[in-house]
Amino acid sequence: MGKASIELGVSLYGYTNRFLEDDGYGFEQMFQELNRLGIKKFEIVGAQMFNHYPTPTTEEIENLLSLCRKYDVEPYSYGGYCDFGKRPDRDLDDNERVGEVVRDLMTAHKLGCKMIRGFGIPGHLYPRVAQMAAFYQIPVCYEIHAPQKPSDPEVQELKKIFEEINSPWVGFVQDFGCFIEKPNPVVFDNYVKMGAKPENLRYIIDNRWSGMSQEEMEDKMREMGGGQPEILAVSTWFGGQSFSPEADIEGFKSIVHLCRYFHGKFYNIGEDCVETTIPYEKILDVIVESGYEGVLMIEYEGRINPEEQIPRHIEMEHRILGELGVLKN
Amino acid sequence: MPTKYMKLGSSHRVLREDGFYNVTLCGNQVAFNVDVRLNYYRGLPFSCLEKLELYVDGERIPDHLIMFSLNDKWLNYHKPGEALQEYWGIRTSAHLLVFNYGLPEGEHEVELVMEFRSPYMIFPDGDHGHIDSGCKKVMKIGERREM
Repeated sequence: MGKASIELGVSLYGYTNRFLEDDGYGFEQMFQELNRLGIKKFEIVGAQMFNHYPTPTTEEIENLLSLCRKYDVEPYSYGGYCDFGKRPDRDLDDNERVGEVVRDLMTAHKLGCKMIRGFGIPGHLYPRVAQMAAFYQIPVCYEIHAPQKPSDPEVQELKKIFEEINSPWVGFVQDFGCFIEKPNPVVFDNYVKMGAKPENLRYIIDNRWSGMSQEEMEDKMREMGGGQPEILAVSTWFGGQSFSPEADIEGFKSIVHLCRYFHGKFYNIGEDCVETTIPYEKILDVIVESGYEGVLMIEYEGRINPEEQIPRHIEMEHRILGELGVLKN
Repeated sequence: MPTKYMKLGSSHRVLREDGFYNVTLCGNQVAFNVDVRLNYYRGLPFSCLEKLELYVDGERIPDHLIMFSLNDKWLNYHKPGEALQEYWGIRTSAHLLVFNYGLPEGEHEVELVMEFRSPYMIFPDGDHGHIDSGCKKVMKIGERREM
């Protein structure tokens, strides 16, 4: 195992809100921001930033690549999906699903991406996906994303599949949102601003692991006089921002050798540039110990202030990875 | 369990004030237009549209009066499965052309009920995630435009 070497990249997903709200804000402004940050590599979510998906137009691809040349930045990873539910009458069958992945491979190839974040690909299709990914020489990476954790049986089953396939063209991208230990106070405050009662939100948090199902918690919120903001908070804390008092670091150690790259997910970092809800030091220790050489893609999902938050994240990474002596940029 | 019901915080961007105007044809006012976008963080296959209803000042607009245009194509929004390859990007406005002779000048309360099946989230019970892209807004009808 060699010495680890980690380069920081930034996912354009972090600029989602601005992209949604301001039609004048696009790749050019994002790349100017990457230049200010000293970041070369980025991830693009095709279904979000192209007007046509899964096959963006030639004009869309050319426009992006032209701006990449202008600002000397490169698309490192392509955030793909497999929209298996696009038909109203049935879900896509296996052949159709693999076809969706190949469309993403085609786009990633045109963009010059080195990785694909895969989504919605069942485990039994990975041998076929590995074959197609080998043709394009772009790994397709299953994203382990909250509320899933590395120790979950489905992830461990995929681990076995990947070990059996033994191909560099499939693997995991570990999203650090799986390791949230407590809800971010900014997210809590946002629900209060939307009209949720603080005591209701505290009830959800205190009883997240009491055995109540999501539906039971939603019923409880209605019983406690909660409205739509509380229901959304239940969805969030049982779903994409699920949290657990103790991060699944042991599970992470069991799959880290199969991780092709990482999503440095975060929601909010204070002025001191310390992430208080995701144990970054522990996570990065595991990655460095594994001898990983590659990219850590910073993924801001706080949606509020990427111009403030992403630099704070970079400063945090510089501190942690700098001390470990593995930072490449 | 992943998130089964999603209504993100950008519903204000769904109904477009600059795309709300009366429409004339051969000089006669015949319809009004309202432009519509998604309230989601990514685009969606048009075929995932499950429900679309339009209300103005509390009255439902009969479906047969509404024509639906996306990516410069007139699509049958009652049967979105007919347009499996059509994609609705998050920066793309769809145009609803409503042949009700247009609306009186001034402000109107416009409500759009719009729901989608998630194309990529499914649950153990076989249900797909549910994306609510509805919006209610008071908007002033813009100057007439000839079709």
